[in-house]
Amino acid sequence: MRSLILSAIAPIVLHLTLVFSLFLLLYGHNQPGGGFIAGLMTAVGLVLQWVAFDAREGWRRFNWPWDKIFSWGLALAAGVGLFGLLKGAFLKSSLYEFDLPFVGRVELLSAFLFDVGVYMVVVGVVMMILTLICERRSPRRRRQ
Amino acid sequence: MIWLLSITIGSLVAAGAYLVMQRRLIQLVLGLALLSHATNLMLVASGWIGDGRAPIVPGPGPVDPAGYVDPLPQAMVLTAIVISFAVTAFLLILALNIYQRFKTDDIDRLRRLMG
Amino acid sequence: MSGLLPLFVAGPLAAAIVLFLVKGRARLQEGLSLLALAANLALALALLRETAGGEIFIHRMGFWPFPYGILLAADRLAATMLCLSAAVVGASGLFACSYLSEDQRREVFHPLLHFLLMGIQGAFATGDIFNLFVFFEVMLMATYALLGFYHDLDQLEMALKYTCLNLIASAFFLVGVTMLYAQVGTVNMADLAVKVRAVGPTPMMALTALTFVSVFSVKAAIFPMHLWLPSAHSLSPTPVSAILAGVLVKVGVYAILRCATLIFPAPFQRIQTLLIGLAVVTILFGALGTLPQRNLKRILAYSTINQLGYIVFAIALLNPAGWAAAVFYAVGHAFLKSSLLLGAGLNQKLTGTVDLDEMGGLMTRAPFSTLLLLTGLLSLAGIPPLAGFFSKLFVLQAGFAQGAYLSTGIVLAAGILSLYYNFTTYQRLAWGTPRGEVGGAPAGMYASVAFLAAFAVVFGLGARWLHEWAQLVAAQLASPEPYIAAMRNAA
Repeated sequence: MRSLILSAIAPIVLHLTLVFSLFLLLYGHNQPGGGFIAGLMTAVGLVLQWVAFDAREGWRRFNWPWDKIFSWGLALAAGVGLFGLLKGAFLKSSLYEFDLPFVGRVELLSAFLFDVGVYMVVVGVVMMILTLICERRSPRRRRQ
Repeated sequence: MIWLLSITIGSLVAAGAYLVMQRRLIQLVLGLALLSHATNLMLVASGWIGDGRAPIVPGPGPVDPAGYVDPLPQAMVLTAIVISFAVTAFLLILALNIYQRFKTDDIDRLRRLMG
Repeated sequence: MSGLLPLFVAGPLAAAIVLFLVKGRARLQEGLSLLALAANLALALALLRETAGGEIFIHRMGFWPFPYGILLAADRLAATMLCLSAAVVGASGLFACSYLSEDQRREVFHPLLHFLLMGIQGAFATGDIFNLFVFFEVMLMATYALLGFYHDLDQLEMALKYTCLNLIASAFFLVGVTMLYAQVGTVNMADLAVKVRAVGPTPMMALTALTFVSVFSVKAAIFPMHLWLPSAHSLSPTPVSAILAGVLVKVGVYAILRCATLIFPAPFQRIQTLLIGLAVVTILFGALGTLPQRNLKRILAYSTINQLGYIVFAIALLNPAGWAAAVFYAVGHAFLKSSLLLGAGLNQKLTGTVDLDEMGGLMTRAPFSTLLLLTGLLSLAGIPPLAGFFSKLFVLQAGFAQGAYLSTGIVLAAGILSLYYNFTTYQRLAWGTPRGEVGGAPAGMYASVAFLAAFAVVFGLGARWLHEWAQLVAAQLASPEPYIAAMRNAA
């Protein structure tokens, strides 16, 4: 059951959702947004590929190590927390400013790295859940 | 407005409780999801004030907190949503597992299988 | 020490991540897991030593100002519970290394074990009631996954029942938080203590307290909410059931104790009678439930319900003597019951069964493991030089001193039942005609069971020492002002 319209649109929508999720990730300090919602947005874009094509095609296109992405994301978030501990308190955020060529002054909040970690965790977890559900649905991999 | 919220919470609980008492596993899972949505809404409602603004600070500098909705329950509800999302996903996979192994998601029939 | 408090949460988290990343290399994973568990135990013991003088350690996460940020707090009670969880989870981890040696899924077991430890320790260390909810959920998510190796329908049904019940309990936890927040507008425990006292024991506040008690009684398996426990404890893998019986139910007990002493002292007076009644029913139900069973782990599960009744009874007396008895009981029972469940697993490895009808004559054929089980069962029955006797003694003393003659009398009478079921269990297991084959078991299993069973003896012979400590804990609980002040003035 493959819809031609959906499968034509799905890859385009994926790019849009990726850009928008990146925007949400970068935007989410003083404005609505952040790692969690950005991760969900990315995951939704990916899940749409599974809906538009079938699971096998989805895995062919995005056969990434989602469990590794999940655990490195968690490691990043926990690492930022422990880094805060060195600065005085667990999860304390610290602000750094850089001068980058062509870009100008950039403020880097360590909370941003935490957000990136959360983003990776969310995308990884949703894709791992998808793995569990889709693998079971395809008849050749069913375990009795 | 708070009445609308209360009615929504009430109907979510009612629908959730009804679904939990049905015979199929998928209805059980959906019912539990509705119940957790209801409690999340209730948590949001505890920080509710009349026509408060969204608690987003416009920029640097001191801000008068009056007129803003309490942000703490919103932060808490975000956590609660994530948790209920994870548990619902777990339950769905559990139900799917049972369905695929025993070819039924009817609780009565499963109980008969258990003997 | 304050700066090290987050390590009780972040340490297991980091360990879980590392273990998840090295999955596939079983030896390395097990070694790292045990190393992390040992380090955790050492940290907990250091904290226990530091808190002995009555000092309260506070850590403000992220440097947020007092009532808004999440605080980690460690007083004597929290340090005691942290030690207990570190020891029991450590021994279970050691046991699991040999127990799961052939199981394919052992590679996810160790990461999940550390996630579970993170949830448990976070729940003990947190000073914020919403954060308590979050750590409860972390803990529960880990147990959902650990409980099931989902082989047969019984196990799937157990997992479904456990998950659904706890999901509903979590929803009610949130309802409780909402009720509390709507009334006093804070979730920090110290701030709550002050503000709830200012509101006074209104009916609404009593209802809020009751909501929390019913939520925690799901974890602590108090009478109407105990139905998940027997199947969850008997059908899950042995190291997991040891943690469930030893530590997880204590999280519920700990939360009730915190509510009773810190957050809702006045509303608890209103629901005291109800609590005592439920505790007595729990004691009777657990004791009677053991009688028709023939599965060793199931008998131990019902006996856990029985024992939890005693602990909650002691808490519900609402005086320092009762709290001291509850702490003594909780500590003793944690070591005792996890040693017994691990012993049952050891026995299962030796004989291939947990069915008492298929055992018999083990005393002559597997003397060491049977002696370990005997120590535990005698202690559960309440035979004098062991910890179980003193646990019951202090509860009964506190009850009679309070003047609760009727309920304490029933509790005393129920002790005879526990004497009976422990002795018949022992008899069916150790004596009688020998049945079945007896194999061997790895040394790691013996070591972890012996480590935990030794405490049953140590806490029995050294009961005075442990009871003095429990009284110190109770004294600190009875006057929460320093705790509140420490949280307010945390640097």
